[in-house]
Amino acid sequence: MLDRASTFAHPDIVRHLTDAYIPVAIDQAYQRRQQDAEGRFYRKIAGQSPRNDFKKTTQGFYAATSGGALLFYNNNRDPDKVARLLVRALNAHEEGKEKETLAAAPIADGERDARYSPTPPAGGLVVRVHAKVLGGYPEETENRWTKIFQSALGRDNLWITKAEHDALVAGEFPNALLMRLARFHLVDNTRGEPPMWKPEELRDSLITFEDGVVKGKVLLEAADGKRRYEASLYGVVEMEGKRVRRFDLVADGLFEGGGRFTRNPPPGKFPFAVSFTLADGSEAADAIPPQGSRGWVEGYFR
Amino acid sequence: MILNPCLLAAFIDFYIAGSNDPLLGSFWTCDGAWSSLSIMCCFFNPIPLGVVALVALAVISQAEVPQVGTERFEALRAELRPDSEEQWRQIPWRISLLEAQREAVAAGKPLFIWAMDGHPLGCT
Repeated sequence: MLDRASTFAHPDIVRHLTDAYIPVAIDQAYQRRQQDAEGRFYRKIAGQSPRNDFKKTTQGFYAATSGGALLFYNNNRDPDKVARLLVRALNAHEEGKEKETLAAAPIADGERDARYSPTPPAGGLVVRVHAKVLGGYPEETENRWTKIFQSALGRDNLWITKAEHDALVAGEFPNALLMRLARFHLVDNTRGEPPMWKPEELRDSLITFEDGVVKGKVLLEAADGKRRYEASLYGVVEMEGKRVRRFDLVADGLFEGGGRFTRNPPPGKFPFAVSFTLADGSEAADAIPPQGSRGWVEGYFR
Repeated sequence: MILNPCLLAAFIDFYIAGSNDPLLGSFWTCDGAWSSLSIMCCFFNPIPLGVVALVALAVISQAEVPQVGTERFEALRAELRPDSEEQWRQIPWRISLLEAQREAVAAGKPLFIWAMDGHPLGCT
């Protein structure tokens, strides 16, 4: 959230990355572990930085030649600093360009490490998920970073299996889909990586699906009672032949509490909403796996 | 004018105890898990409508999470729609490092890697 609204909102950085670099965004928890060509190439680059212990996070900004030589590593989001580093690295790249062009060869994907290469289910659906805190933060903060968090829009993808897609077409809203939607997507991801809900933390749920309209409610509550979300659901699902052509759903309710990486929520119960809409593949983010599938895709679908 | 207190009792059950859901029928049939208040109300049937209305209004005002209607649905969809003009969205992010590597070789450009815990374009 912070990087999007600070570093990558700087016009010079946007220009450099668009014109002079090939920019790539990754969840390094995959690449630092995966045993395939992509993982090896990432570790070759990151291994030249101070973040060279692959049992720990290696997050940050890296610039590298196409051959894998590190041009810079930085884990400070200060836009002016990143802009300066980008220019310096470009100059260094230009100076060594001829040598680099001779040395670098395209790397084929080869056999992918399946543990870290999840793909959307064939015949299923990808649904964009956005989440927002609608109020409740204390009045006016002067802190720039806090302001960004407080107005942030969380983003994730919901994956729907072929069997669930078929069930929707047949006019049913599958329980497994409601469970996945609630456990992995009714989470407050506006301040960082949120804790997901355990199955038993879905305390109550009801859903109806009639004439293309979804209505329902959910109550999620952590065992220690410190995190809670009670929401109403409303949605519209439309079909075209044997396919869903529209899947728009919202959850609207009151959230309470935060997680280890989502600290400083508004005090007490606060209004919080999540929206779901069918992805059309026009955004790069449409292809990334759901956060809840990270490390255990089978658990996400179970 | 008289109102069946079962309606009121079920209503109170739903909003206070969360045991029934008026949308799904138990409100009308009183077949859910009844609170002692529900049972008491049935014994004291009939109750004047004015009293019932006052109590019902008080109960309704305690409902924290009302059912979403079409107007609210559209308003939330609009509010949670990302701003396509945001600067970071103008950058042509790739999500495969090796596809980016191959492009970088072909274009003679360096790579920039935004590596995070959680996907930078997604849930982080």
